[in-house]
Amino acid sequence: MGTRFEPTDGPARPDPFALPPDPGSAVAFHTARGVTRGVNRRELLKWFSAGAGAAAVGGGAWLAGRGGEGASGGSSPMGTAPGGADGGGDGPMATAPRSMQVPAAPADRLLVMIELAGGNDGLSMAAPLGDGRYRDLRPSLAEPEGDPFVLDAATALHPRLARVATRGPAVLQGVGSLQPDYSHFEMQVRWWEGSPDASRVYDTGVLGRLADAVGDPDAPVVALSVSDGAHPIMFSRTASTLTVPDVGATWYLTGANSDDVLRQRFQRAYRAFGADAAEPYTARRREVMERTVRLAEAVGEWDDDDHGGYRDDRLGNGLRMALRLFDRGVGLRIVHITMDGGFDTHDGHGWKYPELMSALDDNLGAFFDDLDAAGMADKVLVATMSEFGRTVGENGSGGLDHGAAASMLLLGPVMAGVHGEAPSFAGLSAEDGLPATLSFDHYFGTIAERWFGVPSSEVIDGGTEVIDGLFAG
Amino acid sequence: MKAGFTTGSWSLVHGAGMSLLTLSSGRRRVRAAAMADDDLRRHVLNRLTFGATGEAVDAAAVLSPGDLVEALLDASPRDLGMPVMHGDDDWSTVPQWWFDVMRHPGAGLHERMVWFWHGHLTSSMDTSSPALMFRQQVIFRRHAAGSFRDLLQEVTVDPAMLFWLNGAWSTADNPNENYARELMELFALGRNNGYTEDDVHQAAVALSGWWVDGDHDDRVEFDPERGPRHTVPLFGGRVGSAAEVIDAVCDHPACAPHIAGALYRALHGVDPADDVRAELAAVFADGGLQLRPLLEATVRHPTFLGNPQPRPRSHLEWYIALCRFLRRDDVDVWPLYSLGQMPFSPPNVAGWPGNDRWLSVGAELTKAQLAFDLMWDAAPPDSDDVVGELCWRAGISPGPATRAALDEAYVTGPDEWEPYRSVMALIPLTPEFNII
Repeated sequence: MGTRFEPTDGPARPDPFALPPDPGSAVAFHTARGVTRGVNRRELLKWFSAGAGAAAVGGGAWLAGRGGEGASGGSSPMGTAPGGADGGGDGPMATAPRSMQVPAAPADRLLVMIELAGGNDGLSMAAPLGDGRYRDLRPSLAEPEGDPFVLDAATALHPRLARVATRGPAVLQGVGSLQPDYSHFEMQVRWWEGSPDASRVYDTGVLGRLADAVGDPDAPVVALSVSDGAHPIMFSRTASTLTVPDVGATWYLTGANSDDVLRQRFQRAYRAFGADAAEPYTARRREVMERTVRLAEAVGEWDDDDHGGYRDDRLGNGLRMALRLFDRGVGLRIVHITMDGGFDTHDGHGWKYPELMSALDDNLGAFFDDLDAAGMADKVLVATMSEFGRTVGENGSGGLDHGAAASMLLLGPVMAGVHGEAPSFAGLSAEDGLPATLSFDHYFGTIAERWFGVPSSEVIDGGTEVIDGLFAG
Repeated sequence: MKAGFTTGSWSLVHGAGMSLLTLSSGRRRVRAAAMADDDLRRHVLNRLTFGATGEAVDAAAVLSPGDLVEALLDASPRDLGMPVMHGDDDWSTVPQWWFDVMRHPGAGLHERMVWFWHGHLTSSMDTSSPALMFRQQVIFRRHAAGSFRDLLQEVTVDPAMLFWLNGAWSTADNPNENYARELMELFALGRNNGYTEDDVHQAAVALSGWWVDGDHDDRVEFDPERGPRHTVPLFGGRVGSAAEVIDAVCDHPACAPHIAGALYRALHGVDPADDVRAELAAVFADGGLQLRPLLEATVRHPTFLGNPQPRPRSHLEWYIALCRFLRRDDVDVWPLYSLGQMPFSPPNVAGWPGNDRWLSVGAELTKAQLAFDLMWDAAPPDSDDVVGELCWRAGISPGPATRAALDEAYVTGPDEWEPYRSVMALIPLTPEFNII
């Protein structure tokens, strides 16, 4: 890999998704329900519509899945509607089922927002099927190794998202700024503030405002970020929000046993400070200290050796902490976890990205298993955010540079399948990002209004339009 | 003692122009008879320097609180060395250098003003670089208590600011309004305070044409081709350059009250009453926007010693006080990032929000962790009255409830427990250490 791609209408490149030479060999394929089926070569060819065939005749233009005869025609082996349940019918491919999960009442609903920091390539996470232009722009990266999980006629999840795929995921396409910037810093600040074109400057964060709208003002923690620093997305007016770098942060304030004399004394005296406060700031801090102790006690002891199926990384530990705190009645409604350290794939995207997806999949798989076991699966929405997507074409280093809009992934009581307006590659060159079809403040506004049942204007000044049909129930 | 401040470093306070007593080990337990004056001196040190310590409170005991204010006004800035950076990827040296400067016992009112300007006329290394932030800070150091007009003129065309608020490469034909807007809203006039959207737009036109030459040491250049070609209307007059915009903003009637209010809030800890603000603004305006007379009037104002208002310690102040209390001069600046007040990295253009925002569950968790972890390498007390000695070091006068809780935590036990350690970890979490 590594030669710089020049867009051309010339002969098609070798198909990176080329089929095995043996016509009769069965290829393992996954459905969005996680059912693995055998597909023979002929079915697969049909499945990818004109795919390899068109390339072979030199047209260079894969028929798009949408409107392509193979994909949407009656002869397609896969269903077409996002909600079209195909539970073992005729075709070998099943699309994502409609969510079976009826969500809890709005007052009981919870949000886990995972920030894929660095700029997540939404096209790799939820790839367009059968779009020749896309494949031309990404000669070596359009089709990662492994079998993708089909969401609808035009979209498939990354092959490493096996456990996510079993959970009826929703993908919301084209989320970004209508007036994008390409700086990490600038776009992160805009996302954190909830201000897509920076025309409105907030001194609070978008999840902080959501916490103000949905939280109990006396709760020890309404919104928690597991990140470095004091995360600006958490800044709130009234609700208690906080950032902790790791799960060990509460060790100092709780759980000293009788052998641990020093920590015992420390914890006892900490609880006594300011109890007699008359001065207003001291009294206010005393309230904060009481909440801090309540939070620390809710987190409780933490076994650093047993990760319970999660990875020992920030996302895994953050999800474990979220589950525990959700379960222990401290008023927590929103968790934000920064999954950092790798989405900025300017080079080596082909080997870096699958590892990122595996980490996401392992952790979310363990989390949803735990939610099932705790009987909480109807309460929790998992959603992703990222400051921008990446360029549609690959660069000379086998990587992708800063782009614009990207797909967001949603899990939980969502309507499985693909939502929002699909990206178009028409007229884009390799260096372009995908233009947004949905301003990201509408994404937050939709979560506020349709998931938490509070007006979008509580979170975004002036309110936003909302996307219908994203959530079940 | 592993890493304590030596008397030698304390003596730098004398170099700062204060005529304070030389310390001796016997001196430190002398208590002034008038506790009220001791408390006032503590208040003065907490507001006008980076915090009271036992040494500083004792050394100041020969001065009345009012004379202590005068001594701090008279102190010359310390003579500082330059940070030596190690390559372009060195993100630590400059923030660590400034933190060490502020943490130094000799850091006084001048340094406090440099910190104030950084939080008021914000920029960030996140959009420029540590080297450019240092370059900007030289402007703050030169004009910290000088001419506000000169300060604003220079910082307007400073590279870190040009990057932070998109002044760089803004053109008259398609001007970026970011700097013009924040110049009026935050830096000089106050939100919706006597200007219009059109003023913002016109000022942006007149501010255009500047760029930063990355090939030549980030030299700031003006390109007449991209700058304003004719004058534009602003506040009823006309301006045709960045310098004329700044002059017009400085001459705007809202400017003096805005700066007077911001400085009062920074030094007193509360907003001024309207009549106090007007009084101070008049001093500032009459002095031609010279900062020195405003600073003097602000700290000499009767409310400063007559009605001290407690406020939460900012995270920077708290962390500096922690390092001084533990007598550690080897600590890293980066925990301030976890606390949310990393120098050179404000959260947004409005700087760090104050007071209420310093009180949070997240801050409590981080403070407990820092106090507990950094305590291990601290110098042990050398007095029979361990709790008293440690409170003195911390520059606090504990109330009865705090003192009782600390006494209970200090239970003499087997030596291996080193019972002073729990007291040492606790003092930074007391009400008296956090609300000053």
